[in-house]
Amino acid sequence: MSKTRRALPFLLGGILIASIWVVLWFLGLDDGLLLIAIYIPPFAALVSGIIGVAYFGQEGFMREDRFHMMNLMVALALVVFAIAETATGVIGSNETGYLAIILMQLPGLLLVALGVASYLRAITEVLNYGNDKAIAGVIICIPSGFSAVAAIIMAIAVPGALTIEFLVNIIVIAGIGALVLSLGMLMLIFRQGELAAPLSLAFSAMLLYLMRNILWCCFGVTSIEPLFQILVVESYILLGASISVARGLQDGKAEIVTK
Amino acid sequence: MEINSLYVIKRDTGLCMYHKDFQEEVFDPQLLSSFVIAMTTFFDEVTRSSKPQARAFEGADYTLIVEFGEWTVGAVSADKESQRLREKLKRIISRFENQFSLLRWVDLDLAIYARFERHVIEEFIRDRIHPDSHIIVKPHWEFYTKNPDVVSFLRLVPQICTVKDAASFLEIPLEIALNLTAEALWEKAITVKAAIREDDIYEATALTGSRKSTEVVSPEVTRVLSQLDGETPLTIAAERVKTADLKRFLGDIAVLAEKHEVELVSPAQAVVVLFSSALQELMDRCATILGRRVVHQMFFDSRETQAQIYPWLAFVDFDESLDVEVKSSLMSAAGKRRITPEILNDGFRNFLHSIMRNTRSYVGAKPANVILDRTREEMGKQFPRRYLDIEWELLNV
Repeated sequence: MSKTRRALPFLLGGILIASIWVVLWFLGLDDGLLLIAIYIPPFAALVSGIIGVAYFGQEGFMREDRFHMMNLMVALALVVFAIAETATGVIGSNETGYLAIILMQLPGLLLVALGVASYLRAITEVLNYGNDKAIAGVIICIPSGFSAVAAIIMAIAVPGALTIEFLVNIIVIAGIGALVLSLGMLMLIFRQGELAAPLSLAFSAMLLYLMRNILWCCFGVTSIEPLFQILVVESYILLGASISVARGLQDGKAEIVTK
Repeated sequence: MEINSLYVIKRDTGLCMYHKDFQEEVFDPQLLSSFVIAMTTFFDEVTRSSKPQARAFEGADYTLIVEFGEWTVGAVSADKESQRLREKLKRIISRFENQFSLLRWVDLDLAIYARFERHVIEEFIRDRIHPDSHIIVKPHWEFYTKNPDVVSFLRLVPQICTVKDAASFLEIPLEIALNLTAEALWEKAITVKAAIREDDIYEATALTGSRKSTEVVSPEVTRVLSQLDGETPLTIAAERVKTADLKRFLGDIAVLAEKHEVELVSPAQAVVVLFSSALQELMDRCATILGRRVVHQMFFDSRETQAQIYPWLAFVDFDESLDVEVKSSLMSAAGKRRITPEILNDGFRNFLHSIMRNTRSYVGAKPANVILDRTREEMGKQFPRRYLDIEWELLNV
């Protein structure tokens, strides 16, 4: 099987779900949309996660193999996201559950962050791309700065909007932003090689995930709003596709480009 | 290139007019000159050539290189033939014919040995001595030389030291120390070993060596010997025995080499070690980026392709723990000079290039070249002098 062909079922699944969502939305079938918003996210995360664990869990934790570790961490994170999304579905109708919903994403995000950060660190070390601390500083400072500015603007423009939930969400957004930046940096480094494929899928996935949290931030606590949830479903599917392509790279022969 | 003896023979009589044994005497000079003249005449007769045809006669462990002058024949006994040696021999014959042209017509005592010595030293001795060369003064050296300059030089220098150290010790210009060393070597009062460099690879021949039973082996020396496995450059060995003074460590190696307890590995073996180290560095870096499975696959794909041209690459292996392993059969063939350094160099270079091309397809050209640069830098630390033997610029993708 070709390395990228492994991602095809995921991509087709993603397109299918998005199409169904659009059709239901046009038809105004709110019940159907709600069902999708509640049941599909945990299902998508679980399927992607299990496939990922099956691919990368066979060899166990190989701490010295950072690429393997990153993919395994993302796969485990997807399983954790599946649990978090199930809980979101359960408490989603309750407005006071907002903080709990955000906090439930954290273990999964932490796993992704660990995997990506350790891989990025290994890459900068091997390729000698500047000082580790400086890179980490840039990756953390840029999204943190944006989040802080957004929080200040919000506090000035909408008095009383600066709730504890909002602040927690802003911090989580800064964290996801750092993840997106890290993946973007990795994608940029390997843009000419086959490694760019799984990295760009993961980058797109985390970008969609970030968008959901930004939408939460802007439009309030409608945690199971179908539009927001479709973004996260696509995000999980893309993460699954990324893991599959990564596995394909490990199994397939290199396609040598002769110049 | 080890030169054993030099002979200058008169062509028409077959008389050896000048000879010098740089090491032990191998041939009787008159016997050898008769042989050379007989053989060259024989070949000329057989081929009916007006120009002398013979170029060299090969023995089991020596080669007799022959060059013809206008009325003399020069012969050098060496371990192998080289163009450089041939050029030197031509120059010696030419100088001899110019200086002693009278001997073409008459036989006279022209004090050839005393007067021609300077040219031979200049041609065959002086260029073997470098500022970093090690002087090893022979025991009872005073029996070998009566030259007052050499005697006073050898009286003051340590038993083993470099020429540069001897110059600074005696506070004399380096050029004079080099000349005195050449004269001492000419007199056979010393032996000179090429400078021991940090990235030379030595192999312990025996842990007890030639010591007498009463001689105590210091733990430090034993530790050093245990590190000299024929695969480790001296810099790394020095690090492993935690030596604080690299210069002293190299001096110890010189002493051990003099006692034949360690010996320099063959050039082919050195090439294998250099390239396998480079390969290991490259694979480690690729494994960090691409993961173990990919580099494994990459290694064996590249090897499979290259082994069609260089079958000996099948003896270069890559195990589960990502260690590049050179099988003992290849190491042994290299050690016994059954495979030339040039072939090894070509094969390994193509192998590395194939891996680089594979790496490029995964990570892109720029990161692949950065990986190569980092590998070169690391190799520069391990093999400060020899890392440039790898043509790095050809490996860029």
